[in-house]
Parts: sequence; C-alpha cells; structure tokens
Amino acid sequence: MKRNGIVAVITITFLCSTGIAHSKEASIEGLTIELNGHMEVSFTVTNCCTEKLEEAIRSGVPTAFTFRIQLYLVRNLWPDKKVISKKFKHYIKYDNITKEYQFRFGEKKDNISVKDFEEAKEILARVNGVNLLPTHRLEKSRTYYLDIKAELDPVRLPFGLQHIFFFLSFWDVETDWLRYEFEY
Amino acid sequence: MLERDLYGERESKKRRNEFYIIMIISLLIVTFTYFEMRLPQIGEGIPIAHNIIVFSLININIILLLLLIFLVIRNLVKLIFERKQRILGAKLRTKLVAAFVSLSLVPTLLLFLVAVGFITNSMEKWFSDQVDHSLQGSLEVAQTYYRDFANNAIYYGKQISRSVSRTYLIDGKQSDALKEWMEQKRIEYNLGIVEIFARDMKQIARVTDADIPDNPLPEPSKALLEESLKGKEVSKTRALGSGELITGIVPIYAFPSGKGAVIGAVITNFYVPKSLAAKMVEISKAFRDYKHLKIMRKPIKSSYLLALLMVTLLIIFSATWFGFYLAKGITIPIQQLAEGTERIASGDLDFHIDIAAKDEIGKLVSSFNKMTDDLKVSKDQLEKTNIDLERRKEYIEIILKSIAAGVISIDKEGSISTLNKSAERMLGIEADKVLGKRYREVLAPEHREVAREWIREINSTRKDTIEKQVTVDSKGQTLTLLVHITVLRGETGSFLGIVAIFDDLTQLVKAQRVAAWREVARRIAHEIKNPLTPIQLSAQRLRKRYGDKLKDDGAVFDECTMTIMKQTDELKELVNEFSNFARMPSAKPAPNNLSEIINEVVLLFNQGHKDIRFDTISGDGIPIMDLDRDQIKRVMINLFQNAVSAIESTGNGGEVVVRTDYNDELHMVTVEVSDTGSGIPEGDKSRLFEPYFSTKKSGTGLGLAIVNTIISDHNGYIRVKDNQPRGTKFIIELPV
Repeated sequence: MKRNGIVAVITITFLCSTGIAHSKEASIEGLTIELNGHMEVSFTVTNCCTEKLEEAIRSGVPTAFTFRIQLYLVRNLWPDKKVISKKFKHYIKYDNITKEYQFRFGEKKDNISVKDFEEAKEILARVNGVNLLPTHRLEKSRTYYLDIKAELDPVRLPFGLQHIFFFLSFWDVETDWLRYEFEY
Repeated sequence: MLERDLYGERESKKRRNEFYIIMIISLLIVTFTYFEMRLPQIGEGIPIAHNIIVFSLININIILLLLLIFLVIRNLVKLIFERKQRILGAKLRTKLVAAFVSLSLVPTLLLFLVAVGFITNSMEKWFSDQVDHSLQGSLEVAQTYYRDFANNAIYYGKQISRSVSRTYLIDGKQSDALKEWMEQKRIEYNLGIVEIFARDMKQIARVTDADIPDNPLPEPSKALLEESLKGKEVSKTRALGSGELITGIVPIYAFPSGKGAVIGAVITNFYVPKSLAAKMVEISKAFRDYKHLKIMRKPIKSSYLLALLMVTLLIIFSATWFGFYLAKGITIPIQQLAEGTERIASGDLDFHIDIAAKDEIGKLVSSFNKMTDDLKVSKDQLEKTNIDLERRKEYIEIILKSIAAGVISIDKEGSISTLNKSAERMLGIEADKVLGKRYREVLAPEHREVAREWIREINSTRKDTIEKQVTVDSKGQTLTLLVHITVLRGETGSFLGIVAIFDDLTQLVKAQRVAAWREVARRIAHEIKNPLTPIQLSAQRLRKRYGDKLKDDGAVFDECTMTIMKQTDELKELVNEFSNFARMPSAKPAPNNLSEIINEVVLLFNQGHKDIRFDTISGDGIPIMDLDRDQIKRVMINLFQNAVSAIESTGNGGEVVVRTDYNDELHMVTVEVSDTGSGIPEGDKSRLFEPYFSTKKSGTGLGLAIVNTIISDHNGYIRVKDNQPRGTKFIIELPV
C-alpha cells in the first residue's frame, strides 16, 4: 500500500478512568483519531452540563468551553517533545428574543444556531475532527501521546463585579488530562 | 536616657517604624480601594491588563488588611504580656484601648448590621416578582414582535409564492415584470426586501425598500435555503448594518395549490431599524443580566457582605490600633515620668526623658527634665561643696593632729565634738570613747568642778576668752597645762560651743623650777658656806683653848663644840651638795659601754651591801652609745642608793635588779632599776624628780632631781613605776 493511501483509522472509545469512577464528574469520552493525510481528533465531553450551567445558558449568560489538545513525541533519555499544541473554544449564547442557541467555534468558522437545548448541549460538548497537523510531520514507528483537557470558562459576574469578587467561583467544571498513547 | 534605658534604641526605632508602616498601609488600602472601584468602568477596552491590575490591587489590599490585623493582634498580645508582667502603664493603656475599641466597635457593628439588613432587603427587592414580571413582559413583547414579524414574513412569502406559481413569473422571460410585481407586493405587505431564488439557488430577482440603509445585504444561509427548497418554511433574524432583518423563506411550488415540485424559494424580509433593534437588544440584555444576577444572587450577596465585613474589620482594627497609638502617646510619657521619679528618688539624676511632644504631656516632660537638670546641678554643687568641706575638715584635722597643743571643742549641747591627738596624750583619754559624749560625763568630779568654775567665770565676765594654768595628773604624771578657753560664736553671735586649747608647760615649768632651785642652791651655798668655816674654826679654837680649863663643865663644853663641829661638817656637806647641784656641768657625751658602767656600780654596791643581792640582766645587742660616763655613773649610784635605802628601811634583805634592753626599731636603750624595797606612795610619784623633795629623813632631795637632769641632758626620759610584787622600778629610756 502506498504511504499516502494509507487510511488508518484508529477509533478508540476511551473511557477516562475518572469518568468511570466518578460518573458525575466531567470527562472526555469517545476519542477518535483519524490519520488520513491529516491527524484529526474528535471527542465528547460528558457530564459537563450541571444544573447551574444549564440555568445560566438558558438565562442568556454567555458561556464557553476551552479545549486543550497537546501532541507529544515520546523520547528515551530525553524529555518528550511537544509536537503541537492547540487551544480553542466553543462559545454558546442564548438569544432570548429569537429563542435560539447561537454557537461560535474556535476551531472552525461555521457559526450555527439551534433552537433545541439538548442539541445545543451536544454541540457544545462535541469536538469534531479538529485538524492537528499533516501526518507527514509524524515520524513512522514512533510512539506519540495525546493530552486532552476540557474546562468550562468561569461565569463572569455582571457589571464588572467579577473584578471585585474574583475569588468567587460559580462553578468549576474541568476534566482531568486525558492521555492516549499510540504508535504511528 | 530613660526611653533608651526602658526600651532601648531598637525598641524605639521599631515603634516608629510600626507607626509609619501602619500609616502607609492605611493609605494604601484607601488608595487601592478607590482604584478598584474606578477601574472596572474604564478597563473594558483592556480586559487582560485590567484584570491583572485589579487582581493585584485586591491581593495587595487583602495582604495589607492582614498585615494590619497582624500588627493589631501583636499589640494586643504585647499588652496582655505587659499586664501579666505588671509593667507600669499597662493598666492605663488597657483601659484606653478598651475604651477606643468599645467606642468604635459599637457603632461599627451597628452600622454593619444595618448595612447587612439593608443589602438583604435591597437584593430581595431587586429580584422581586414585580421586577421579574416586568422584565419577562418586556422580553415577551420583544419576542412577540419578532415572532409576529417572522410569521408575517412567512405568510407574505407564501402569498407571493402562490402568486409566482400561478403567474409563472420565474421562468426568466419576464424579469422586469417580475420585479415590478415584486415591488408592488413589497409595498403592499410593507416588506423591506423581497428576493426570489431559483431551484438552483440562484437569485432571480430582488426588490429593496429605498429607506433601508445602503448596506451589502447578507447572503441567505445556504442551509436555510436548502431546507426551504426541500419544502420547509423557515424564518431567521439576520443583522443588516446597525439594524436587523427578520427573514421568512418559503418554497415556490410548481402549482399554486402547493403541490408539485419546488421550483424556487421566496425570501421576504422585514427590516427592523437601528433604533428598534437597539431597544430589542437592550431588552434582551436587561433580561439576560437580570437572570444572570438572579442566578448569582447568593454569591453576590455573600460578596457584598464579605466586602462589608472587610471594611468593618478594617475600621475596627484601625480604631484598635489608633487606640493603641493614642494610649501609647499618653501612657509612655506617664510611665517614663513615674519610672523617672523612682530613678531620681534612688539618686540617678542623669535620667532624661527623651520624648518630643508639643502638647501638655510634652510640657510636663520638659518640666520634669528641667527639674532633673536643676537637681543634678544642685547635687553637683552640693557634692563639690561637700568635697571642699571634707578637704577643709581633713586639713583642719591634720593640723589639729599635728599641733603640740591639745584641742577640745564642745558644742552648744555640751557634747565633745573635737579631741585631737595632743589632747588625748595630755589628758590620757581616747577620742573614740569620749567624742559625742557630754563633757560632764567624761570629766572626773574634781575636774568637772574646775570646768564649771571656768564657765561661770566666762558667763560672769562676759569674756569670750579666758586663760588658765592648771596642773593635771595623767597616767601617773603631773602635767602643767596652760588652758585657753574660747567661746565659739556664729556670724550672728549665736553660741555654738567652746573650744579649749591646752599648752603643755610641764617641761618648761620644770626647767624654770630647776633653774630657780639652782639659783637658790647657789645663793644658799654661797651665803651659808662663808660663815661655816669661821664657825668651825671658832669651835675648834674654843675647844683647843678652853677644853682643858673647864674641868666640871668640860664634858658639856666638849660635847657642844663637837656637836658644832659635826653639824658644821654636815652643813658643809649639804652646802657642797647644793653647790654641786647648782654648778652641775653640762653633759659631755662620748662613746661608752653602758653595761660596763652599770657593772662597775653594781660591783661597788655589791661589796658594801652583803645582805642585798644585785643582779644585772643585760639584753642582746646593747650598742656603744654617746654617754657622759661620770654623769651616768652618778645616775646609777643615786638610783642604787635610793634602792638600798628603800630595802634597808624594810629591815629585811632584798634584791636590786638592773635590766638593760635595746629596741632596734626605736633605736632606744631601756634601763630598768627595780628594787624590792618599801616602794613609793602614789601621791609622791609626781613630785619625785623635783629638787628638795625627799621621802627620806636624811635626804637632801636632790638625788633624783640630779638623775632627772642628767637623763634629760642625754635627751632621755625617766619614769617611776611600782615593782611587782613590791618595791619600785625606775625606767630610763635613752636614745642611741
């Protein structure tokens, strides 16, 4: 098979150990890595929408999820090399006049709006095919690992009150770092 | 300096630094709080920097508040320890601090509670149902407005769609007519923009209201258009410049009944102008913010209460610290004054309170320091005067000790205040035993009477000075003293006491007496000796001429002439003695051996007096010394004669012992002649060495006078003592 023609699809349904142990804690699931000319990563954040968060979103409070993806090359007798690091956000804002959930994505230019809240939650928590790097930048027969983390941006108090009461945390949704090691 | 002594320089510096730190902290807290309140409004444009600044300010503020709390607590702990250690001023400070804390605590807490209630009530009112309903109502109005327009857009879209289906206006051949028709419909339905898209999603025609701002129209969402071409009716709100478009997308079917294939889509847009759109946004934002706040009601309330609590604590701790500061300002000078008084009382006049204050305390401290300085100056002067006086006293004492005259002073109370060495020696008393005692207690009764007489004389004559010559027996010696008694008076003439000065005239009187006696002796010898020889010759002649002629009375005649002749001889002998005494030559000392002289005399007397034992005990190292051999021999002979006479008068035998000794340190030879004779009565001892004083019936009374004169001529000294167990002992001291 030609190298470029290699369509290697590694699909891993990865359950974070913390996710199993503590089902109510936010975790990353359904990690999929596609190596088809480009390395694309997809995953879903589960248990991220608490009641407070849902209430806040429905009240029109702008909210965002920050995703961090880091790819490392494993090296012996030497610190692992960070190949690429990516950080992007999923913004959600409810327009209470039109009753639409409007999305803005950091990893792509499409802005969408939906009327269904359940659908909105799924969109918020789902990362689909984030292009990390072309596969030719990956070295053959080398071991790599991905570190993925998702965290909810803190809700800011209105009227600049967050500056005075910076120490108040309305919620604290954050996953552990998910590490997945693979050989290319 | 007191402060340095009490707290030390370091402590003082520390307290000053603490003051500055607290002042700076308070100022910083106020400043930072001010900026924190101001910055959120101006920092919208620079959120990151703004956040960093605000975050820093808040952190610094909290650190400063903690620092203030630490300082106040430190002071409190210090105060508690000071109270336990009973440090002066700690109680007063505690009271002052307690007063300040109470005064600040009550209103602050009251204000805090009122503010808490006020905030709670206010927040409840902010989120009351009324506000909620009003905002909800506004939002629903806006929602209804948009919903109605959206419905209308779809409705009019449907109308246009049916007309287009009926008239086949989208076949592309009558585009001008289509536009004209669309314009009519747009005006009829009061639409902003009407667009028609073909099946291939290409725009066929568009008509726009001229009042809509000249902005590029947004392309309809491809997804929405696709959905519409699939037969769905969708609506959407899109932004157009500062305004909005409420869009309805409706499919165009092949048949007006809505059946058949979808041949295109019509998009109808209502234009929402800027003013109205802004109001809608405002309503939306107000509702959103309200909901936001409502969600965060509890944390916000807690935050406000926390901020209020921080301010309250700041006030309380500041007031407490201020209480400490004021209390220190009052108590430390008082404490130092109190300790200063104690130190001054204990004699430390170098004490100085080093507090610079312009208030009454400062004046008090200044007066205290001045008083201390004055006291120190006075004390120094007093000490100097005392030293001078002491020196003078010492000088006078040295003079008194050195002078030959005896000095006794008696104060106005009659107590002896001064008694010099010469007086001690003359009167045979010790100063330590009599000083401070009344003279009446010290003097013997007979002397006491004499003293009284003198005082009476002073009083009667009103003289301040009298002079008397007295004879005093002291330690077995009779002294002739010339006494000057002077009344001591102060500058105002007040009576201070009496001073008596004694001049020892004993030797002078003795010398005068000897000289007088010598003159008498010389005259007697001269006057008596001349007629003696004719008397003796006359008696011999009478005896020779008439001795044989007087037969009956011859015996009487013979006896009488013999008596005359014998007595004349005795008188001659007496006159010769007198003559010898009067013409006694001055001593001619030459180196001689004293022991040899003594041995010669002892040998002489040993042979003549077999019943008396003569012993000599000679000490070691008797040196050869300058002596007039004949005179010393005479001295020894006279003393031996007296001793022999005294032993013979007892009728028993006895012994005479001569003991010689040499004192190397004093360079003095001592000769003791002791006998076991009858002894000398105590009363005669004082006159023993006077001429013509004799305890013997046959003595001339010149023997011991001659001895005394010879010893005096040899710069020696002779005294008499009782010999133990009996007899007399003459002690001669001769300088080598």
